[in-house]
Amino acid sequence: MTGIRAAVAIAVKDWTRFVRQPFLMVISVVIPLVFIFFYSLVIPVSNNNPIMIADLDGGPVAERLSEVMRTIHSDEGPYYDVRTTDPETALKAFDDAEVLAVVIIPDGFSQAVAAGDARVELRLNNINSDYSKNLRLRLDAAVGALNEELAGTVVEVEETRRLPTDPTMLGYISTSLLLFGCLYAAMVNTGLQIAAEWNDRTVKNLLLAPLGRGALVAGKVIAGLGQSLASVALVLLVLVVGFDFRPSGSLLAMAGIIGVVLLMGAGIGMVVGVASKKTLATASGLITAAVALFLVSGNEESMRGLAWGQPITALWQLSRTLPTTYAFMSARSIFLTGDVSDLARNLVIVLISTAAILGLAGWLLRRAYTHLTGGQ
Amino acid sequence: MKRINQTHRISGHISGHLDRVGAVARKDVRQWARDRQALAGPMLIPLVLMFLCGILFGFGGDEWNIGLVNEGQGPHAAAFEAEIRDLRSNISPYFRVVTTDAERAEQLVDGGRLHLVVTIPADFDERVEAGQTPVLHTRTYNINTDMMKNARLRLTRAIQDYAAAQVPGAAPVTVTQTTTRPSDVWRRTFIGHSAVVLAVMVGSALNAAIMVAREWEHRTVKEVRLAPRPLGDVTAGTLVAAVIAGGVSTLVTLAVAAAVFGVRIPVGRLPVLAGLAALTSLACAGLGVAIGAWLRDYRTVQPLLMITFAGSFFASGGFSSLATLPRAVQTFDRFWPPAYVFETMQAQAWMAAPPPAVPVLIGCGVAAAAGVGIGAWTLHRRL
Repeated sequence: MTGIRAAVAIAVKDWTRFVRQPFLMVISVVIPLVFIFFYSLVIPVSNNNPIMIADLDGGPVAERLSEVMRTIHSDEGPYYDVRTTDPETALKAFDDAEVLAVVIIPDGFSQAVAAGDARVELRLNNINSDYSKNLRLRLDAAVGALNEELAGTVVEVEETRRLPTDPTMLGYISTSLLLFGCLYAAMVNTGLQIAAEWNDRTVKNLLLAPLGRGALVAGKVIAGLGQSLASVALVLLVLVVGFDFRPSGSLLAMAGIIGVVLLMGAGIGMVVGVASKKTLATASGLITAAVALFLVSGNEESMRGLAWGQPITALWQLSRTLPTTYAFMSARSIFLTGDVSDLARNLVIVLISTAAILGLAGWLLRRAYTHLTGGQ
Repeated sequence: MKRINQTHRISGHISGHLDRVGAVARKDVRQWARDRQALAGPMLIPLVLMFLCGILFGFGGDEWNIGLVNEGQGPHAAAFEAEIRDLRSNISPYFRVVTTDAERAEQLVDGGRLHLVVTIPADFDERVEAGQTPVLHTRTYNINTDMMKNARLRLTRAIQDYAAAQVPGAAPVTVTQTTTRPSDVWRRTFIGHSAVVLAVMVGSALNAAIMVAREWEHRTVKEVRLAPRPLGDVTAGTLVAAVIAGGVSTLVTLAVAAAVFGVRIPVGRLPVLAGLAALTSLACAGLGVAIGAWLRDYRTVQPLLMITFAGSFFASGGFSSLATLPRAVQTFDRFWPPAYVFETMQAQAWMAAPPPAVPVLIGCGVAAAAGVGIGAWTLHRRL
């Protein structure tokens, strides 16, 4: 009972300090949202590419090609955002480097199609192979669709999908961003809370209190989680309202996985905070770690199919060793795909790891007590 | 005699300023160099983003791993298989066949180790000979639309090329491609260079902010306040130290980008890029001084700068050029200064015919003057 009261007292003390520093409070709550905002801006690039068409022909087949380019699409949306078909505008924009590519439908295109030998040109300022590949393959798909209309289907494709429909990239990334929000908030808030005890020279009072290390860990974890909840709520709100994130699954399962990830993040933050004992190192280390975990753990399922050569295989294998990866996979099962085949295993790994990380934090605190320097 | 004395006084005055600027810069650089955490912190975000994004999104070129099972025995099936195997962009093959065994391919795609398995059926030739449309069977691990877009569009291209090469009259329209460079800049190289540009900005801004905030964190601000010195010397000294520290971060990042990610900048472009980097660094250092003086706390300074710059890397042209981003994002980036830095430096580094350098140098010069002014004004208010 004393331990619980002490843990709550530590949490209340940290919350009071937190509230007294309004800017620190705002930064803690808003910063994950800043990253989410910026990262979300780049997501549509995977689906929709702006393009300009210089239609020098103006004939019916050329118009049809432009129309096909406007309509070809994935499960998420159209592949192209056709900005213009006016040749003068398109060619000038390319020459002025305002756009990196232009599709040129040459004069006489419609007659050449009738003769069975027409060409459409993709002119590229090829400073990024990913963009070149995306535009080329999309144009091939549009031309393929036009050829099918003109000359019939050459080869059909019958596809068997693992999931009934493709999860959208926005849904996939939104799940990762939500978990990033949880991890970032819990890691950074808890880590800074504990490192601040050394920074502010109050750690001796804390560690000399007649309490078990468990109470100290619990107090700091409760404090960190309390600060993180506002941040996570805001992230969830923005994802749902701003990005049309529609998680599937039960609310209880959602709350459960968010809670466990917050606990894991708080544990990681505490381990780093106690190990470094300095706010400078704790902040930069944990911020970088949160972004790295988002990229590595949040992309395991994408990497899995790509990992057939170095160095991505090494990165994929690293991701398989990180407990956070299993949290991302669990969340994706619950929020997005509904595929529960590995959910139980993933959750067990997450729970055991979380307990281990919190245990490590307690041990480090005990060690910090025995290694307390005289000046502190 | 009077004129000589006046000249002596002026040169003594300038020399005094330079001494104080040098002293502040030396103090800040020494503290930075002695504190491994301050040294490493600003390098972390560019290096981590370069390694992770470069490997995750750019290391295999355009190659995509698939299973390819050819159950057909005839020449048409063989021609289609050859089309898939030989298909390539101008930097690498489009497909890498991991297995041709049907059972293994099924296991791999079920477990997500492959995103696509293509099976050319046994009756492929029979149907072609009979004038019917052959049907390919594919299995996908459709984890998201981006992965599937990459897999399906490559297959569509293979079908299109097969039609053009093997089926007379089936492809009345074909695509030709002309490029401004002989071969594409690999995405890992593009990302590596973006990380260097990020290091220019975040290195100067974060180091400057930490140098200023350190006076409050280490409780030495009173000494600075009480010292009989012009504020301009303190600001200038800190700016010089931050630009030096940012320069070291940038050089380390550039060395890694060159060694691991193939960043090779043409020598003739280096002077312009160095000029842009120096002015950008000064602008960011000025902003860093302002933020450090305004917030005075590592706990707020670091998250604000690290996350804002890391986010800008993705949204403002570091991950993909501005021209490739959606319209709404392009509109946002018109008002977001890092976007101009990424765009300008990428263009100068990679374009076959980069835009004229003078206007962008002037723009960076104005930004540097504004950054220094904001930094000096904020520091003056806080001290």
